[in-house]
Amino acid sequence: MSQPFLRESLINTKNEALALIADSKSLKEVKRVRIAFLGRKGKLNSFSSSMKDLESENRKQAGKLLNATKKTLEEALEDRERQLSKQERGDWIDVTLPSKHPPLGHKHPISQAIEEITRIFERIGFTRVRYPEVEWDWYAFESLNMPKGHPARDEWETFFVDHAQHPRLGAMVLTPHTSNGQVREMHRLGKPPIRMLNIAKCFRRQQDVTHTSMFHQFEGLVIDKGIGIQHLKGTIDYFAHEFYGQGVKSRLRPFHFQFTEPSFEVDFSCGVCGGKGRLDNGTRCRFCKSGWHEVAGAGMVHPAVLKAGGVDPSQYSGFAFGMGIERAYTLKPGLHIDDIRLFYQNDLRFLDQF
Amino acid sequence: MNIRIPHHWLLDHLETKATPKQIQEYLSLCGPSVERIETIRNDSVYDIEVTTNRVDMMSVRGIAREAAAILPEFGLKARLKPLRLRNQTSRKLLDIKIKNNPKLCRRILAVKLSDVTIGQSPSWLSESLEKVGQRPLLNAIDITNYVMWEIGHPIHVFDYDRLTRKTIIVREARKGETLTTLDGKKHQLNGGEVIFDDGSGEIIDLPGIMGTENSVVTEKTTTILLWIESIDAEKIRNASMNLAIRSQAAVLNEKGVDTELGMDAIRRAVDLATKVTKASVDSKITDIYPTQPSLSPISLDQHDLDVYTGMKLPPQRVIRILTNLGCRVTHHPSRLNGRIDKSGDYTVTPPSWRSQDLTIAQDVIEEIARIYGYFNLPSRLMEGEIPLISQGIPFHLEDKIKDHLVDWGFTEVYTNSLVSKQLAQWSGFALKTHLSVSNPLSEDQVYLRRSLIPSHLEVMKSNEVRGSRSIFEIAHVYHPRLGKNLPQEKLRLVMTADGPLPAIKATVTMLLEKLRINYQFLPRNGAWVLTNPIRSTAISAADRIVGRLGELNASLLEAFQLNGPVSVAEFNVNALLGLVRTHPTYQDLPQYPPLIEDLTFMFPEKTYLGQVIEEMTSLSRLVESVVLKETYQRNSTFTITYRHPDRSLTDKDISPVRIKIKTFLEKYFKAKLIGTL
Repeated sequence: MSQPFLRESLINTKNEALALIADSKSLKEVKRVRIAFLGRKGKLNSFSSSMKDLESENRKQAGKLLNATKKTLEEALEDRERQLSKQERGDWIDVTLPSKHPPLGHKHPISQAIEEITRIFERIGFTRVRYPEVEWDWYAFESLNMPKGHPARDEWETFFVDHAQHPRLGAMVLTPHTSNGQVREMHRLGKPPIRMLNIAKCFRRQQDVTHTSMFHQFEGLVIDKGIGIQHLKGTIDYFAHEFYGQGVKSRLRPFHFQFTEPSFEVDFSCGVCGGKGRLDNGTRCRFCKSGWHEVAGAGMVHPAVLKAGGVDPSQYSGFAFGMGIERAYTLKPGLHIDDIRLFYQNDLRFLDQF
Repeated sequence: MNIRIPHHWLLDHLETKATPKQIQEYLSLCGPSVERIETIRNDSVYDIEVTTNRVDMMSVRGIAREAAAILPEFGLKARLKPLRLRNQTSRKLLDIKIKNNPKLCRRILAVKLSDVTIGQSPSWLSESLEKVGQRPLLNAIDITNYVMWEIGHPIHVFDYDRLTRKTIIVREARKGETLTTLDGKKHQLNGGEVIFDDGSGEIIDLPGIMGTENSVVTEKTTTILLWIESIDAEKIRNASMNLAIRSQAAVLNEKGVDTELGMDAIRRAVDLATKVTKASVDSKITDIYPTQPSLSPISLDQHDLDVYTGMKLPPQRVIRILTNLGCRVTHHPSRLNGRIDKSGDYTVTPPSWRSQDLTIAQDVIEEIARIYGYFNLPSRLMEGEIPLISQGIPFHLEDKIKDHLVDWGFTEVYTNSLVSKQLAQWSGFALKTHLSVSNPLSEDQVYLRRSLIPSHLEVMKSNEVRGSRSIFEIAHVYHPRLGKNLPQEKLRLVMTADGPLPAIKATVTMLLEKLRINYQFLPRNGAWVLTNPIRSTAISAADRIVGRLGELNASLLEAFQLNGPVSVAEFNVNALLGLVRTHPTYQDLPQYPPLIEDLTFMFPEKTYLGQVIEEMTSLSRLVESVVLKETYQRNSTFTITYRHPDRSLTDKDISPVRIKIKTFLEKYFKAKLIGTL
């Protein structure tokens, strides 16, 4: 091989190698290029053997050129390797490593329920209110058609506050229900229309898996011309599917409260078995036992209560309902809380789950 | 109140082919709630919740009457069987002198039976009583209980021979009189209870509640006096509650049992006594009934019925339902020729056993609607004007505070408003300035709290296994007021966290910033009984103290066995929320570059640098901000940003400001500039 030809051929080989290096997409490919050009049987080594035939001066020059080519290729390979390895390994991080974040707080489930309930009722025009937790007997009982000594009062295990009686409003009590807001709201607004949502702490002398001495209720009160049972049903049905999901129905059963006439107990169909009382596989639903959950008390506002609130019962009618927030919340499908005392034990291991 | 009704006993009064399951379902939908069916000796026993206004249903016959009205609405035949009573009597007048007081007792029925064989009841009778939950005793007594459960009117039996004076005087007890009830318990009377006096002053019965030991039937009895009285319901209620005697008779009588049932009840008892005790009737039935109750008709307007039900119920249906319930109904269409008849469209006269709970139109509407079926009524939301006048309470801001604190690692707790004596004592308010409940459930729920902090320390303690605890709560505290005033219910936000003051202060600061409240921390107003005074600060906004924060003092930590430091922050929520700004006032974005420089001063020990920064910032309008860059021993370096809104600043502009700062800090904070200007 002549010297000029060898030189040209070497340059071509170099360019070919550089092109391949630039095109290589992985370290594996780079390695293949390295072996093909710089390996023991590589293309550049084949030049060394053909140089043996050249004259010493030419051989020296060709040797220099060969070395320079080798060096160039070596650098190009290393550059490319570095580039690719950075791409393939250098930016790698363990994306599954648990992250270090600021501590998470937890909103109490009762607050979460209150916010959700508020949002649901505000959408249909209810105004949320707040009335005293320490209340006069008159608002808690007497104005609600329950005169002193009335047997119906036994239903409320009332706490009495050690304080002088009010000459007109009677004893001081811890309100045992949110219904104390009914007449207060009528007095506040002066005249219908009324759409009240009263959410408050209530107190009763009882403590077991379904009762705590302090608990929360929400109470709806609607008074206007032409209000009937159908509107109570509409409101309760709307709440049921907003709070528990589409498909949950409500039903009213007859009951008795002194401050409503007619009075109802409100049941919601079970979200687990769909109100059938049995699961799809035929076994009895353990969540509800009968397909229904008893959740609330409700009724059409008694004319005596309207009168106590200064509302003319010959012109207006209304409905009211009251529900325990703890009870309503524990019926959320999949929640599985069967002891409401947990809400007030303030065990952070419990609260962390919400 | 729950009562137990055996199915077979029910069928003595109700003719129907309905199954117990159907009876349970349909009664629950339209009448009393049948909560369970229990099987006892091949009989289904219903466990039924009867509401307090329906004493007429607290018996087998009462439930039968109700079922006879409900079941036909579901296409099931049902009929109330007439009560078949034998006409047994004697011509002899009862030889007991009875002196009634019509104000206390509305009716008395009495009959004497002799040749009584006292013993155990036959099994049909004792088993029936066992099924309803009544323990069988002697046959003559069992008969009275049987009649009470069956007819719904309590009835008493005396041992005729033990009424030695043959006199019964109805009167009110005097305070301090005593009697021994048939269960052997001695009671001292408060006065005002209705009792029977045998003419000698001796009490021989606590009528309507429980018999007395001195007149009750024993195994030796041969002659009995069956006796019914109708004592004023409120009198029964008071006596039964005050003496804590809650017999089934008292539970019924305090609700006002229909006096009209009395004759059926005593005749039924006579029938059973002659059958079961082989007794013979030895007197006429004495009936003292001064004023028979009048039944008041109720007017019901068709329009009101339509409003309440949301539909038009046909009059035939309305009449059928009410008639099946025992009412008399007359229907007179009122809107003929556009005239409105004030007397209403229906006149409904309730039966005697419903005369107390059916008094107004709404009561009648309830009867019609429930028997028609609430499930058959439409369901729709109301139309009409939406009331917009609120109380002005920013509930959503309370929610917002909660959201922020939760985002910053605080967990919300709900602690009880009623606290123990110990917690009340640690509130910072004297125990005697707390309201308390007079009938607490337990010792740890007695006082209406004036601070949430002790409750939080209890939560901190009970969660001791946890590392860093950060909790908060928004709840009322109760400050008593004098005289005819309810206590002030003040909403408090309390945050409690492990760690020194700066950590909780950081969260408090973020909260105030987020609420767009301009605040100041006032160290010297921070003294607070619950915290370490030199590690406390008040939070002021709009020249008002709205809250405070600090590290708990050592005695509190010790009392709750907590490892310090523990910090608390407490806010008056109403004051805080009153200052919240929903949106900022926009400041023009700066057009010209600032000049920024650092200045270092040496301060005396215990200098409040917050105040230094505040003063530096307010010294000149050119000072945009002052940030503490670092503090080393007594030296503090501040990064000061100067800016002019309308032009670029030069060193010449700020040189006088710099001097002003230096002079001011030297004068008021005894500070020394490090380096030269």
